[in-house]
Amino acid sequence: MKTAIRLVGAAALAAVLGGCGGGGGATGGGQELIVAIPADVETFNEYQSTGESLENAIIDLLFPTLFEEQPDFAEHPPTFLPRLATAWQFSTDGRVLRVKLRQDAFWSNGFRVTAEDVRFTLMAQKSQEAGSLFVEQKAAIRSLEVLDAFTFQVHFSRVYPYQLMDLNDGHIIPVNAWGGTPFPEWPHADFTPSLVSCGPFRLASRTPQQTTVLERDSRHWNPPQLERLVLRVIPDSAAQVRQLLAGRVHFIPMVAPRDADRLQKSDKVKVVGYPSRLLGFLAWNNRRPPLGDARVRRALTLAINRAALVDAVYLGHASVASGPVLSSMWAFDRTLAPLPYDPEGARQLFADAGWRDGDGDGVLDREGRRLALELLYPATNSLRAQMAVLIQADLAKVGVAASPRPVEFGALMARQESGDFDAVLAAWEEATKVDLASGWATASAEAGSGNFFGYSNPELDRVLADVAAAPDLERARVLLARAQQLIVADQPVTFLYEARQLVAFSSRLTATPNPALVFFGIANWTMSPP
Amino acid sequence: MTRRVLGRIAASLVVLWVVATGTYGLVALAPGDASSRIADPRLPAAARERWRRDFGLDRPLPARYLGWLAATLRGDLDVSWQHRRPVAGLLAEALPPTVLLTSLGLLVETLGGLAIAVVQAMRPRSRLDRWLGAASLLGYAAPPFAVGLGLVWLFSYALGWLPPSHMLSPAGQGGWAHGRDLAAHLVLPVATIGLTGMGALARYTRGSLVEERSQGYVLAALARGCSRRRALLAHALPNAALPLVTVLGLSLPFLVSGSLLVEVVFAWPGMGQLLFQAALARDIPLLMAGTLVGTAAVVLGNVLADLAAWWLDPRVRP
Repeated sequence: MKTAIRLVGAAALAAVLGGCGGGGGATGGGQELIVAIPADVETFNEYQSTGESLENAIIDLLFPTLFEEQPDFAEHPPTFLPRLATAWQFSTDGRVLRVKLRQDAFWSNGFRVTAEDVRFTLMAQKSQEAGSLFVEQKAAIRSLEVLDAFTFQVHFSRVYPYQLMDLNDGHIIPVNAWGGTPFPEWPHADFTPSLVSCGPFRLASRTPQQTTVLERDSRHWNPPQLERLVLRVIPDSAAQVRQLLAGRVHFIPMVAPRDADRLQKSDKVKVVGYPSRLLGFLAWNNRRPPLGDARVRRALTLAINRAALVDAVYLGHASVASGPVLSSMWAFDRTLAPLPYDPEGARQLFADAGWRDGDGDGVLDREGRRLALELLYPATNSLRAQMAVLIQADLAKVGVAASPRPVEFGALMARQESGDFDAVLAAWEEATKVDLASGWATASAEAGSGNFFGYSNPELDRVLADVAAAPDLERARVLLARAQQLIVADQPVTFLYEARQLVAFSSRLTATPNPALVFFGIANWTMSPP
Repeated sequence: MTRRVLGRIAASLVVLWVVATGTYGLVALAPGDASSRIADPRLPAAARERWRRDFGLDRPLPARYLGWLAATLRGDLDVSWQHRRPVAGLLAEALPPTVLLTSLGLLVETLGGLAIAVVQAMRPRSRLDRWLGAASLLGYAAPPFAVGLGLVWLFSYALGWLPPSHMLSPAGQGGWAHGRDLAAHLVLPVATIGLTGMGALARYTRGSLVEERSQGYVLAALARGCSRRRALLAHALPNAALPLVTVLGLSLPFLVSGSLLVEVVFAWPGMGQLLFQAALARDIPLLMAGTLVGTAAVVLGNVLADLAAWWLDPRVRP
């Protein structure tokens, strides 16, 4: 009996070891790309999504946009190439846009993609009941008129530089498949079973929290060379790196700076960095004294050695930010340079504002009140934890007592919204559309807007109103430069860094990720044999 | 006896309600809500308000709680705010992988712990006993994620024998190949749970065994000509294992709630990860359902441990 048990045990072990097929070896041959993602896709319906950028990039593999936005926003707003739309033309007054759709686009259930799908998409985007986050963005689109199956006209309520971009934002969805679900049911509806799509890939299989397999849609007008795209959920970033080095995954869309150097040393892996659209800053609560005083905010900025901070935390994979517009954008005012690291200048500004170390305890004070503040950051963000400690040390040198405090993300958002904070280490992922009003104008300085730090400058408000009414881009560029100068002079926040996005992938892969989209140009991506 | 069991069950239902209500209150009153996850920080306040309204967060807390309680009593666990899918379906997907992993882990932990304890108790205070004691302590103290990462490094990357993560390989397989693939993926996480758990069990059982082996009934067995091994295994172990039943009963919640660290290290699609993400997302329906399942497991584990103790030991019977 004992012998039998031993035999069964040995056989089981052999089966298990045999079953793994060389567990440490490379996986996936041919044109299969395995992508490591930190969390599973929650929904494939963009109009239910929270707008997380990687989820959007995956949705982009399954659904078309009208146009393909190009990553050429350094000199002018992004231009567009045909995608679902083959031709488009504005009326002479600029208020009506006529769009022609391609006729060889099919949903995965066999239906053609038509202008009715575009009309349905716009209805979903503008619906107050569907849970869409696009309602405000589409406000200037008054209506969409279907002229024939492949032609439609869009009527805008005003003329402005971003009409095409606003129309293009959001993917086209199938009326034949999703039109049967009333909009009020959308927030709680599951659109994944029998997903109908129209992208270079279609959903082949899905194991929640594990693996989503997309396979090439050969009916697509520009079918990709890759046969399969396998999205593997790997929550631990260190495990993602190990599996890339071992050849078990082929692509990591976002690599931490600390891992980049290690990966670059491997000849099996390529690391590509490009300017991301992440703008990191330290927001001061402008409503709370003494942070309402622009001299104090400017002094705080001068006291922080931002270049050293960026080097220490981002290890050379970021640059110091100058102002509210990313330096990679067309609207960036190139006369602006980051404020210098100038502790002496900071001390002088504090003194001008009445802050001196009267009691000799090393901390500035005024009228019996110490200059002490709480510095909040998201508890799970290790980069910002490092920054908080470095900032604390810099501020201590000029007599400001900063106390770094990690806060759970949801609780941090609630404190931001209610204005219950002194300073927050935050970051925005900037859109390719330059929109200073939503983050800096007084009109949006209320709960839930970008201007959670309560900044207000009437002159800036006037300039931003003029930007909205600017008849052309050149005028807008001049006004936006003025707006940036006003914001930088006031330092409502300390602009810290512009991060580079680091993408790592197998040297077998020929890929072209770029700042517009991590899977940009995926139709031409190829995998060479192992 | 029946009356007592029914009494325990009634008390358990009260415990379930109290824990669920307390959890609901804590989650609802915690700062932040489901709209905190919206990625665009510049979104107008109106859009966030619509998002809140879609999930009923614009209603007063008592109304939300009573609505949830009534639905739960009807057996309706609602739809997850994060996944937009029925909560019951999500639990049905996450529970089997967790139960499979943790039950095998507990099995390895129990058998390994018992084996170490028996070997130690055969020769107490010997060099082997001291070595095994130190090893047990080390296993007990070692963080599961460190043990897991070590096993992955050795068996997946250095030796290349076993897969480092997930429950199955990306390429779907059927039949025996599927079973072998699953078994290969189970080895390392099960070993992690077993290795980090068996130390405590071994130390606990070894102490009981050493105490039992000096009892009169064991000496009497030896005097009757019973071998030392038989006296230990057949006579001392059943009595020494009695406290073990309580320990295992209290492990039942672990069976259904999973081990978050092990699930993260091995990208295992279980309850631990599901509920952790639900907590971060303030996904109240999913979080509450998970709480109910976990609390029910605690309560059930206690009841089963008591019943087992009554069955095994006549002295504690009412």
